[in-house]
Amino acid sequence: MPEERQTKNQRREAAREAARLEREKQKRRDRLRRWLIPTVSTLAILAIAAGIVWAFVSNQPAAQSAAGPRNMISDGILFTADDSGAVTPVETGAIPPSGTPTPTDAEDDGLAHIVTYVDFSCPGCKGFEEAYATSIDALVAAGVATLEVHPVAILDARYLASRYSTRSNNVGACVADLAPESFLDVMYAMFANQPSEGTSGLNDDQIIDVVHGAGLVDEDVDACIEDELFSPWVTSATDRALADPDLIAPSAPGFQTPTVVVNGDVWDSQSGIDVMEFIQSRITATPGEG
Amino acid sequence: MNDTSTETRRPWILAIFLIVTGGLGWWAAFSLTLDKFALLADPDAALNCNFSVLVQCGANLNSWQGEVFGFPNPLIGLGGFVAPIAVGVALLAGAGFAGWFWIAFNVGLAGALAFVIWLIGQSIFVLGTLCPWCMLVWLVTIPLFWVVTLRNAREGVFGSGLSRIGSVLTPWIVPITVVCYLIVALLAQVRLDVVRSLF
Repeated sequence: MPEERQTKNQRREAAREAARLEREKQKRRDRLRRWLIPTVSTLAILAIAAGIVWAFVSNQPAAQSAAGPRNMISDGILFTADDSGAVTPVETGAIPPSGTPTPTDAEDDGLAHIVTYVDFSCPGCKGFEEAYATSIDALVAAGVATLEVHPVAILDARYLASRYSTRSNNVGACVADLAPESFLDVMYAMFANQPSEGTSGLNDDQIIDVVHGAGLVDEDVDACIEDELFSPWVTSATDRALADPDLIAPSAPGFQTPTVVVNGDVWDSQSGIDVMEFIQSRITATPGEG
Repeated sequence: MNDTSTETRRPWILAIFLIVTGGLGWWAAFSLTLDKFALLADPDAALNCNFSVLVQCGANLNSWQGEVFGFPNPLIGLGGFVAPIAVGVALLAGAGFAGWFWIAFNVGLAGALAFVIWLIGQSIFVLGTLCPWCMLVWLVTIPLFWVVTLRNAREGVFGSGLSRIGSVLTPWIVPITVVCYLIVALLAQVRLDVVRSLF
């Protein structure tokens, strides 16, 4: 019967169709398998990488401030006049790890308590020190003022990848810690030998030469400079200065160096008042009294 | 049965990949060129690619490595990244290329990869910076090289012997690229401690 024959043909067709579908299916399965393993591997690699990063980040010590240098318990080193009228550093302990600075007690004693925030790598600070360091030292020596110097590092970006700002201010911390009586001499020498911005600045050997040139030859200081022993503290102290709204001059957009604070008032360099006038106006004691 | 390979399918994934990566690379090179102009006009110019001491491009642009052939590197990218865009657009339009063309394209990309590897080394180990636009160039050059190289191997451009290897490795392009990225990230981390400087 024709119908039966047709059915036979149809059967053959159906079998062929089924085989074709099976082949298609197999092909799809192969393709899936071909791409599945690499895709799963990618996800696995990414998951492992993310896991490592996460483990690394979560194992970082919580943002703790590093131990500070001795004689800088306030984040700065304080100078007063001794009985013979010499400018001498006030010895203090160090800020312990994870500790916070202890501000200097600013007594209302008629003296000008001058606090400066300087970056050893900042040209403006160099200019400031060149112009006023002698006069300020004279006031301190006369016993009518005290000077507290806070080194801060805000200019790393200006010295290529050398981090000269942090490294040069670490020098201040090293000297404050190990040879506080040489601090001012070293600071002035660092300003006098300040490299140009936009360069890599001085390398460790050059910095050590400057320190030696200032009359401080001390192996421990040299090692402290090379090891950047106090760079973590420099960073913490800088962050603290940047976060302090009381250090911003009225007409300044933010924290700048040099910042000069006298008895709690910030000197505004744009005010037209000379900094020495600003300091003098806050002295009520007479020389010799303090 | 119209799925036999008598009619070669237009490789639109490859085409779009070439256009997008070539475009991103070109954009990065163009931005670096503009930043270079800004630095030439004013060496103290505040570039918007300078985010921190670590993430900046000023140091890279000012270095001798930034003009190793005597002229600023981004100019190479400005010309070079036109190639993948042009090839991609042509493929999208149904063009086919001779074997020698694919080999030349591949040689160009191999040169680009070699240059990028050198630049990565200089940036991470010598300059100590991660320059955002430069990293975009690294990011696109690595897969560009792998995708085109494996495509050429698969299509028998390098002889039939490599054709099987090409087709086996094709699905592995993404993991290969990811591993390359991770190697660069690892080098940057070991040398520059990126993670700590970001947190």
